[in-house]
Amino acid sequence: MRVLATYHIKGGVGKSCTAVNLSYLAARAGLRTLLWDLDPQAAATYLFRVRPRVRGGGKGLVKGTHPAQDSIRGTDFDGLDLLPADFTYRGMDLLLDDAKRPTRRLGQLMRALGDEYDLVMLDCPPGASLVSENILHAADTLLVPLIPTPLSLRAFDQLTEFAETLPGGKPTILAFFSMVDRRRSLHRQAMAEFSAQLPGQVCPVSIPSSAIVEQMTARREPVPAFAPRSAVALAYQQLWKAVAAAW
Amino acid sequence: MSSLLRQQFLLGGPVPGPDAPGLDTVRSAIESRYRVVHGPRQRHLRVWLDTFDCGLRSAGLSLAHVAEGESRRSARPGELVLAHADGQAPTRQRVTARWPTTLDGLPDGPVLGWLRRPVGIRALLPLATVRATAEEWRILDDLDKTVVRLQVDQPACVDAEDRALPARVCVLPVRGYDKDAARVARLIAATAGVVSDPPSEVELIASTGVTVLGLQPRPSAVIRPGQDAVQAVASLLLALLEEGERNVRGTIEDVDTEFLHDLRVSVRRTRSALRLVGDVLPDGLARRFGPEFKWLGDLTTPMRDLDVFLLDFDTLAASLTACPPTDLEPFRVHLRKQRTAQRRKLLTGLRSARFAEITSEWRAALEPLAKDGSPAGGGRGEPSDTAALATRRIKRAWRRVANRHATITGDSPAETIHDLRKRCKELRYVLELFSGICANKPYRAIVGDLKRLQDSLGRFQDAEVHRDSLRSHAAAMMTANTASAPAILAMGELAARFDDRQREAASDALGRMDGLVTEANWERISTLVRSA
Repeated sequence: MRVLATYHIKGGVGKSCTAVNLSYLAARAGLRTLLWDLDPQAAATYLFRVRPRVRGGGKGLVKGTHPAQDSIRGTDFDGLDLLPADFTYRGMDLLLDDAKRPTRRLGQLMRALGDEYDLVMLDCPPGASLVSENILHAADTLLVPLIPTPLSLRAFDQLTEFAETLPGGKPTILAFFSMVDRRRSLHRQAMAEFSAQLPGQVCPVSIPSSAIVEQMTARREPVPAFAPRSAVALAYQQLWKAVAAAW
Repeated sequence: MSSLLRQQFLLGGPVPGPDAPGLDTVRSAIESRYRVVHGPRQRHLRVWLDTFDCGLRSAGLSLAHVAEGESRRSARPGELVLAHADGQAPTRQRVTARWPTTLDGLPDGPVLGWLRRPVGIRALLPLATVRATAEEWRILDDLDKTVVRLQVDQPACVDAEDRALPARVCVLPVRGYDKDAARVARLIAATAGVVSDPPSEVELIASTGVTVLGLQPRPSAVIRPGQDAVQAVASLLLALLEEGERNVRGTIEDVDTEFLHDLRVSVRRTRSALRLVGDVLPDGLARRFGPEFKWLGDLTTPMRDLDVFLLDFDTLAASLTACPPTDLEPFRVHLRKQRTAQRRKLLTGLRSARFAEITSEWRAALEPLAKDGSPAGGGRGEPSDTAALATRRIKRAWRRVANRHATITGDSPAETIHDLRKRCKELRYVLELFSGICANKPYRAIVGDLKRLQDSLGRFQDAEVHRDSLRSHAAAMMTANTASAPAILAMGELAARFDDRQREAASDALGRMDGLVTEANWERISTLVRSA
């Protein structure tokens, strides 16, 4: 089982959008895929039309009184399941702090799924917290969406520094540009600079800013499902290929 | 994965009538709680498959080849769909195939992995063919989330002139929405005229009068308690005739090697029955038909011997130690040519007037006897006691085996061991004939000991037949100038190996004889048959 996490300290950079579209593409490629929405905002859960509710809440999940399997829901797409978010996840840090091995608990919960899935995609909440530590320990690859602005690079530096402070193995960190508007010189410039400063860490694929992405929330389905030939869908397909090739 | 098994429903009985509920009625029932969205309609051809001996059915599996479109011609691309009795999701594999075919005519894949054991060397035959229009209904909740899927199928049986069959609805639960699946299933089940837990499609087709392989009752080849002896023996022989006839077409068409094997089994059992109990039949029937069935046995032997060699060929070739397996290839080519020639002779015999007369006259003689013990010419003799007949014949067969035991030693010639093998076969067969009126526990004990001895004797016989065949094939190949020196040497190595096997089997058999011919087994034999 591989674990892929969309993560950034900043919010609003396209984590959920990426998690939803890539997990759809992974399932379509034949991987048995589970998307775990860890963000109490429950954006990915909303996009798949699932009620944001987990049996026993975050507490039941972390304590183990209600196994994750009891809350998993099949999506409308073959091979793709969802472990929904729950509003109680807003207290996840406290719940994890009470657990044994508080920085590894989420990884344990995923391992309890056995060989049921080939890929677990984590849609992570923003911030640097105990939840983030759990994700950094559990993930094989961290996918980091970057909006091409100077502040974004600063946030990426903070993320990599945060990751460096953690003991034990580290995930592969792969950044990519998200919500790109190539008409804007600031975006073009920032992308060129970042790529030069972070050789090998920035994926050459970028996701364009597009009204189609906003349509996701209206239609409540992944972009490749309703607009397979759009530039956004094609970009996500390229991103998926790059991620899979890196394994 | 949902914990719910997939539930199925039929809209009406085997033949859809005016009272059968339509799909609109079912949809209305569901729409009282949910929204229903229809997927695109697809038409396909569905061929249900199994082996002649229903190997898949016995293993709790059902298999269909689903091909898009409707043409029945030639090899068709499609999907093999294998359903499991425990309700787990079906296993699927893309395959282009025409039926019947053996497994080596299909590509490896997940379905084939399941099929190897129950199918073995038999061919997959079409049981029934259905033309169907299928669509998927998505059942949506108040968030427009798909919470249940329905597979809706409207079939027509091609084997019954495209007669419409009732529509079938299968509930496919979505993980985490078991309650919705259960609710939808209840709504469907509560609709008037809907049949829950329906028979399978193949069983449904059979119930409409279409002949479906494996679903017709087969006559019993075992004598039952209380039967009149003449009636019992005639019924048994009639069952063997029908079993043989069932396998003729598959033998002629060479669908797989087991049709000829099973035809030979019915002929062999007929011959044994005629020898062992045929004297109870009136009018010298046993004397008259014994030679005819010998002719039939002799007709089928050469091709079966070649089949046995060819089926085992790769294993034999792999066992060579003094030369590579490829040295044996000229022998395989020779065997295949011989098989083609023998098959021509076999077909001539099976299509002959003599064969047609054997089966029709034999049936005409047996049917009145099987019905009430009366010969075709009328006049019923005294009814005889099956139990008394069984006791006499079993004891006689036992004594013949026991007498051989007294005389056989490690130095006995091969002919003596063959004679023992034949007497053991007779004993085994007479026990099987009368198994229906034997006490179960002692019967199983004796047959267990007998089987162990027969295994050794069978290996003795097979080794000798193989060894002698190799010699005659080698001679034939040299005469035809198709033998290379490496091939002859390889065949020589195999012949020597069979010689060793025969010696080992003989030694083994002697040891096992002592386990069979015991006081305890004689006691069992004496009290084996239950009184009526």
